Amino acid sequence: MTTVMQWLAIPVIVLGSLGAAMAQDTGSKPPAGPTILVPKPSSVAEPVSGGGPAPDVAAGPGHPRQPTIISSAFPDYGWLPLKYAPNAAKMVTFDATSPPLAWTAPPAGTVSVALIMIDMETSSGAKPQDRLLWAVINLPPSTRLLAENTIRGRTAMLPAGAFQLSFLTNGYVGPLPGANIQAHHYLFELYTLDEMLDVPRDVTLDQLKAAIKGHQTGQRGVLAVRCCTDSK
Amino acid sequence: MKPNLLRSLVLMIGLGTSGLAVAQDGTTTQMTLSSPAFRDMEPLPLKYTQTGTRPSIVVSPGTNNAAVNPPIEWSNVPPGTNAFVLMLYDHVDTLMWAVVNIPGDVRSLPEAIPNGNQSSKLPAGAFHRSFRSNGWIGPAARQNPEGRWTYYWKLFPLDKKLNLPEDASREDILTAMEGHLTGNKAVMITPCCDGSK
Repeated sequence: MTTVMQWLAIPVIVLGSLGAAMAQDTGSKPPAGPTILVPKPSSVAEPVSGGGPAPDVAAGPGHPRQPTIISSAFPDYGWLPLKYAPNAAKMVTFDATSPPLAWTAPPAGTVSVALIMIDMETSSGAKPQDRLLWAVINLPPSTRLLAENTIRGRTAMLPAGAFQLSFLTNGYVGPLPGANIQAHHYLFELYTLDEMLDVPRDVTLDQLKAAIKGHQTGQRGVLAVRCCTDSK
Repeated sequence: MKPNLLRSLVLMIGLGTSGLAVAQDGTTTQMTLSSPAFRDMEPLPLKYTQTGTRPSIVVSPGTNNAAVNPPIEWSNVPPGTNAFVLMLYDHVDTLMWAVVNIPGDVRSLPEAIPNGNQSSKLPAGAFHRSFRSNGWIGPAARQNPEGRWTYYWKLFPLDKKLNLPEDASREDILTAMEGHLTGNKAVMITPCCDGSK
């Protein structure tokens, strides 16, 4: 059981560890031979790529990490509680409660923040893309959380300029993987951006990714969950 | 939400699980992806990583890299599937591994497929690559205090093999798959290398 004190302590610990670590930073072009790979300070404003080497250098302002995104309602790599998946059995209602989410400070130069939730399994129209289940776009960089139950369509609940949508409606719908089949994987992703996004209110995931391209101020933050076979 | 309403909602979901549930995309089955070597949503073992197999990570990938790919299995394949692409990428979209043009009757990949496309361990007609090699390269994220580095496994069921060069990029592969999926993807997520053993 997570107490309020534990919940409050998590961001502090997370922030502390951020200073002691660093991003992987490597280009996609292979070097000609064995090379000492040291991140460039200029990587701050570039979309960070990596996954190859993790250079063994100290953390510093030139080595942005992704923001850490957490929920007080479930652990990272855990199961999304059924409370946030009211459509898990069948699509009978859009009376969905969005989960509480919080994140660490975005990198310097961030002008807006976009939070999206995707269903990684679902493929529609024979396309390889994931399904966009929820997006909250154009949050100011000072925003650090979304409270539980961000009500559908009510931009009054969001900071000025922000709006939300899903693939079906203008707010959180929640997972619907089909209750008697294999669980699906869901990602809450936090994109920190150097501009406000000029996208339509029914923006698709493809359009959103195109708009985000080249405008990230650091890596995207990720919170991964499954739903709903072992959800409670 | 009111407790009673919540309880009835949960009850409703419980009842739903005993009946036929239709997924968001209308399918009633879901392809599964697994490995005998690790569990979904748990850290990738070090033997599959550069982090665990290279004496120093301050050298370019591939140098003294003894990392091997883990064994992978899948089942519950959608009808009409004639080929698969298996893809491993990280949360910044780096292509860590792709095995392209796996025949539609194949249901597993063995551990330790050698680099290059001549190995008999590779399914007939398939090729594999990473963002900088023609085979498995393995995650190189540091352990403590690296924090979070996330790797996504995706198996795409396809109606046909793809016409792609053996140095195809992640974007090339995704583009080539447009309109050719026979059903949902199967997914695993493995953090690495914090917590890997």
